[in-house]
Amino acid sequence: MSETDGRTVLAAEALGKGYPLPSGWLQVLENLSLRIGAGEAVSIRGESGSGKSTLLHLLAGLEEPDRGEVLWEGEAIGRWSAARRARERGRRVGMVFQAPHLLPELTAWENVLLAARIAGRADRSARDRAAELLERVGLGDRGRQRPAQMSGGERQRVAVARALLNRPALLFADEPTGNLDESTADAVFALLRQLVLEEGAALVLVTHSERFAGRCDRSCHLERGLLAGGNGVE
Amino acid sequence: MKWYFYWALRQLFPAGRPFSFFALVSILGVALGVMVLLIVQSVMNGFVHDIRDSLARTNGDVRVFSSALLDDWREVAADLREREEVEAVTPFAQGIVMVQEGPRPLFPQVWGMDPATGPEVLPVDSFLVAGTLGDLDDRSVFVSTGVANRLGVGLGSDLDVYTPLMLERMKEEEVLLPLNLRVAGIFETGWNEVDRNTILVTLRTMQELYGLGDRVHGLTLRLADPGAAPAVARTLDAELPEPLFARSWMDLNEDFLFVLRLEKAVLFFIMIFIILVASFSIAISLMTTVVRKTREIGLLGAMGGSRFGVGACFCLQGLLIGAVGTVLGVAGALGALHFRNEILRAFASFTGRGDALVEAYGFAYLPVHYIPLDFVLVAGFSLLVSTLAGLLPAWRAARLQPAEALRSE
Repeated sequence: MSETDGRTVLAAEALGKGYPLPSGWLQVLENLSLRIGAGEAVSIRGESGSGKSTLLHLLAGLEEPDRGEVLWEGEAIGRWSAARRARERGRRVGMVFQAPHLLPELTAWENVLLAARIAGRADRSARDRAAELLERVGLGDRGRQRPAQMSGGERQRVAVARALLNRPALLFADEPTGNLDESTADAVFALLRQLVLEEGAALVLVTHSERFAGRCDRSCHLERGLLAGGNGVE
Repeated sequence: MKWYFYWALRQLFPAGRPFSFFALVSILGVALGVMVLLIVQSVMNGFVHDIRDSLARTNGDVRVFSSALLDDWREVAADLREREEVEAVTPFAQGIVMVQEGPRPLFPQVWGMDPATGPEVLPVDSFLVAGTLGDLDDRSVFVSTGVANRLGVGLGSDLDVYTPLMLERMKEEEVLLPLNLRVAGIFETGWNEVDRNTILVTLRTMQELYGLGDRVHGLTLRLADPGAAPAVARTLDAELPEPLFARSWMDLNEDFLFVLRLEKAVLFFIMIFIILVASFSIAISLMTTVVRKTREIGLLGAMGGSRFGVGACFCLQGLLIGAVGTVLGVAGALGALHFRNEILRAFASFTGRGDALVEAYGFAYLPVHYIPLDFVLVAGFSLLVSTLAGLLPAWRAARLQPAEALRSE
């Protein structure tokens, strides 16, 4: 296991990942390394099929790399059991996807609080924080509504609040504005960026948008399985 | 509350709605299965209970027989009365005779009862539909409703009674006239075999008919605790000297009681398929949920939900559906059983075929007997199969990889 300094919250070392195809083998990521400091915002851009989402899944511990390792705050997550990895992900990581993926049978507030329930911390302070986060994303008065009663932008704001509930050190966002119109996308991204800054979390943003990528501290470009532009490792 | 239990609850009882449609259908399926099974079991128990009650009342709790005619029955009866578990003892003699009223002959069973001690053991008074117990003397007879109907006799009619002893004497060229007895009462025990073809006379008359002298065929006992009849019979059987032996009313009707038990078991086995079908409905609706909510399941994994938690959520849904369905089913069964006769009357009135029920099935009301163990078994089985029905969807949900589930369309 490589040691990282105290400010590095996420590190990927020599990651490799491929998938079997009927016609052979598709190497998606090749010898990819990356380090992200606490509170840093890094965007990852690339063409469709370049492996952005695969990289995000590897960094978030949702998939295991064929080679290399991922470290969260200096700890190699590949050495943990699947159950521990899930547990640690619930506590240290927040995730926002292109679709909000809110549970339709829960209200907005319950959806936000679900992150704390899964982490086993659904106490009074978590309930208060869920209400506070809804307030901060501008939905303080909509907590009792179900996702079906909200617009796409509102749902995505609930998803952002949910991702931040457990005060994660890392926030992964996979095309969080991909399903929204331009003005709503701008508003949601601005909110996400502001909240991440306020919470002191590191942000890994997968996006097609140059505009949003430019508003991050660093921007990496993924091409043919490699992080191009020399921005991979600090 | 664990998150998977919470999510299982909210999937069944989502925000803003009392029930999810899938859950409602599954719950109703289980409730109907439990309800029908309990109604059938309890009504069946009612019939069996009535039959057992009639059997016990007409047989006495325990009978002591002798392989030869019993001479010293008074001493034996006195010894038996000394026992703590025995409340009353009466002698009996029984056989078959031919009775004739006009041109119609019949071959009923005849019971000889001691008018002094018999009513202490057998509730003859409660069997009488005409006449009183005091009317029975050595020149009178009580006939069952079946005998009365078939011979067309009523109170005050005369019956000629012929016995096998007369045949023996006829061989010796003696001419014996039949014994003429007056019908002093008509009885119905509720036990069809007895009610169809039995007459009751005093013990002395029976001894005269069969040439028994002072001897009897055995003794009938009433116990302080009727439920202890099999145990008391076993004890007496072991302690009584040869040629005496004891049998409880259950021993004497063992074959019939076995058929009743078998009938109940077969009925339970057949009806239980209703609950099994309901469990398939649970499995299908949960499996549909797994397919429909693949991405949500992936999201829960991405948020830190363990595979165990995801699987447990679906197992718990099966258990919760089973629990709610079982509670509703038990409540529905108790309600329907409480108002069973009103329902039967309403059905008969609606169809206009109330008499047909009595004619075809021989009953105008539905007996019911609640056995708590039946309720426990049905509820337990329902909960078990409902939970098992959640296993396959749970296994499938737990196997989903969060990354693949999130990518699914």
